[in-house]
Amino acid sequence: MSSPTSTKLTPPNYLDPRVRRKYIWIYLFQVWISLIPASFLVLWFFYSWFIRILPSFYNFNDVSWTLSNLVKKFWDYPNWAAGLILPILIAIIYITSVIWSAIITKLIIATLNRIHAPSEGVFFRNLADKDYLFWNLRNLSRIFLFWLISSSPFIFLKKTFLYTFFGVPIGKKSVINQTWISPEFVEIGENVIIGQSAALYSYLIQGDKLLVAKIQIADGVKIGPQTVLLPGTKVDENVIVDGGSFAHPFTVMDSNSIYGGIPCEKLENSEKIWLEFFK
Amino acid sequence: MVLREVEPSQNISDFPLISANLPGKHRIHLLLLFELWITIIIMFFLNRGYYSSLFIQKTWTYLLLPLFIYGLFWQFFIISILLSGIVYHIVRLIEPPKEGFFELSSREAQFYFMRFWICYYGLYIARAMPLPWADMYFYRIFGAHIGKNIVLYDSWIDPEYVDIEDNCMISLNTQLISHAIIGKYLYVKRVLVKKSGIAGGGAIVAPGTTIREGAVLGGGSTSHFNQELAPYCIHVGTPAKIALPIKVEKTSKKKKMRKK
Repeated sequence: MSSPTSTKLTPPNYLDPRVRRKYIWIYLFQVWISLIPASFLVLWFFYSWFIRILPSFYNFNDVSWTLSNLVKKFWDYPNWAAGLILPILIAIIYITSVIWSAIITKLIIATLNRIHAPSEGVFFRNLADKDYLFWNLRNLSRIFLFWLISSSPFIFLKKTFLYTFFGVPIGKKSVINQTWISPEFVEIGENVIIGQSAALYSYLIQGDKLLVAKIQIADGVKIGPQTVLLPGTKVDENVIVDGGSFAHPFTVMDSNSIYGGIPCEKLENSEKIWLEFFK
Repeated sequence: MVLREVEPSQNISDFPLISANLPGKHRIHLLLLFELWITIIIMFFLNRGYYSSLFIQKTWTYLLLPLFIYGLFWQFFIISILLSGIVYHIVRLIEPPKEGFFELSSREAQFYFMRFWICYYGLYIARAMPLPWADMYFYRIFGAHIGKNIVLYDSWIDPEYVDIEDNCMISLNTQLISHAIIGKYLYVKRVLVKKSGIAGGGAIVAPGTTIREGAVLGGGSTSHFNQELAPYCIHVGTPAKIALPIKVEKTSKKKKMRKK
């Protein structure tokens, strides 16, 4: 499949293979519970429309496959409203499964946070390290919901059901449709525009250590396509980041200026250009 | 300040590249739902005979079931792509696409994003098809000029104002963008890729660039606005500069061998 990376909308979500092997039952249990209402809807639909109504369309003993007969039967179709309602039912089944699985994942994450509260810092990649273990478990419980939302072309569900419902602040009028953003330790202000397949990671793995730090993006920031921001970056108001640039962890960007390049630095004459054109 | 007055003479190559597809004021997701609704209705009525034949409980109908499910995928892909193409061309009649600077709140910009999201729905589905090269043919529905014998891989290409000629290669995770946001303005300019041009993996092609014959944009590098890449040269860096010329042998070795 040649789907471009800007349409693969699942946020970055690392999972330790040891955790995956040990705690896969959480994932399976979650999938089972979150598909129950949808499956009841499917059953109801199957029995009410397909079993009772469909066989009564034809007298099956004298089905003749001539064109004129088929056209005639199309118009004689007694309850062709069933065909009109079918797509709406499919949409209802999809949206109920999204909402219900979002509620289930939120419950699981709330219980995990009760046991051990999430925190920033540097952790060892051992299952004995409680922070690392629970960070992985939270990622594990999000996977199904991410897959469910990102597998449809309706990407407008993403902002509400992946971020604002889970308490990640993303401001009004900010556009994050075609980007990867970590679902934890991220703050995004109002009127933020982020380009295609840019990535904001709130974690970094190096050797046997995991770094988790908050990414803060203030109001009116614009970030170009394919930029990579790593944990701990602070972006002040109205900053413009050029496309294809790469910022080291814990970079701080001053307000009302333009940044770019690899590694990300303040560009020459940036304040002058900003005052002239972007004010 | 008004960018529109200084448009042709203004050197905008210094400007940072920001490209994003805003949802706009139009309720596009309702339009997409409407498209999905119609495609499923068409599929329902096309396959009605088969559904009902399952209830007769004849064995040959069950044997055809796997083929039928595979066919359903193809029906869904092709019908929804054609429908989005029809809707796109209707919207295009209302507000035809234009090149140049537009304010983000203006009618042209709003309709640009509306047209984009209509194309996005079709292209998303075309890109998810079980044939990796099928997407090339569906770009032509939306009016992009795409030549023969080219490779798109996992790259993103804007549906409007993109011309790609024969024998080109656009590699993995390349962004070929014909629109960008400059301040409060939307800038739309045609991107040209001439014969046997190559854009490397992870490269960004900014609006207005022309990749001349046989030019190569290196992996991970970006071209700035309205840049012209010289023919038969490798360009590397952000913004891209000439790194190496390429030696071109006009006659292939096979022909020389034959002459001898």
